Amino acid sequence: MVLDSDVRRDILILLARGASPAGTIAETLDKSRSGVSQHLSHLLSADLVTCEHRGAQRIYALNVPRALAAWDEWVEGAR
Amino acid sequence: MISVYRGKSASDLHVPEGENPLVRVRDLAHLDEVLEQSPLSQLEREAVRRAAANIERGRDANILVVANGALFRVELADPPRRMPTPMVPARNWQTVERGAAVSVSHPDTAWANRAATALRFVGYSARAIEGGPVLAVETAPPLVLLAYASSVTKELIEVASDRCAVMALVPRGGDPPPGAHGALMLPLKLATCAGEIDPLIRRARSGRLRLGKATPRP
Repeated sequence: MVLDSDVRRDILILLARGASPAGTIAETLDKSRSGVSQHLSHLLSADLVTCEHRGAQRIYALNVPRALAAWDEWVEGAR
Repeated sequence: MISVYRGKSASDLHVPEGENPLVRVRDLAHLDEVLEQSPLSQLEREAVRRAAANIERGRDANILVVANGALFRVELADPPRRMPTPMVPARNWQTVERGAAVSVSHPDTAWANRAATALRFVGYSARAIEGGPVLAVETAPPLVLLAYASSVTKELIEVASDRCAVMALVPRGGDPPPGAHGALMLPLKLATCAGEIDPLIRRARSGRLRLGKATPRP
């Protein structure tokens, strides 16, 4: 399950405050840029985030309905 | 769409490639009348009718008859795809009480941890309680305690009522326990949590949990 990774959960929690470029996400979470990029790819594949190109930057944002559904599933998945 | 083909030999029960069907009808209801005008023999028609009895109404299929109807085969098309349910954009799923202290108590500690993490996504400063909710409320009361319904006891309500709001986590089909300030039905639906929890946070902050007894909290 995509949310089984604590880094991916932290990324979603961060993006819940607003869209952000990968570099800022990595800096805020104190993780390597490449590691965060991999996690963002997972989140993109699962359709939980969207990516928009703004100039040279890629801005990541939540896909709110999908993300909420994934959290619901993850919370109950423990049972 | 139901299509009927005549196979070339009993050893090859596959629809012949590139061949047009001898009969084609939009649905089973029209099969009989079209069969009667088809070039199929009486035995082949009977075989087609027997084959059609195995086809669910509304399902597309190819029927292959061979050896003058002695054998038949039904190839069902993929079931009709359901249109995906459109995701309705959630509104007001984030708390307006960002950073408010919310604790989660549940007999399944892993569930409590997951729920607390999910509530952080909504914007609360949420944590799971280990151990009894009464002790947790006595030592570090949150603004709202989400406690599994069976642990919402008279004692918990008494300890919590002027310290924090107690919201019962009610399992499917259960009733909210008496005395709780609110209830959240399980399974948890994050999209609606803030709408349920925020008013209790405001009540707890304004000291309106138990009128006349509570003191406002920061």
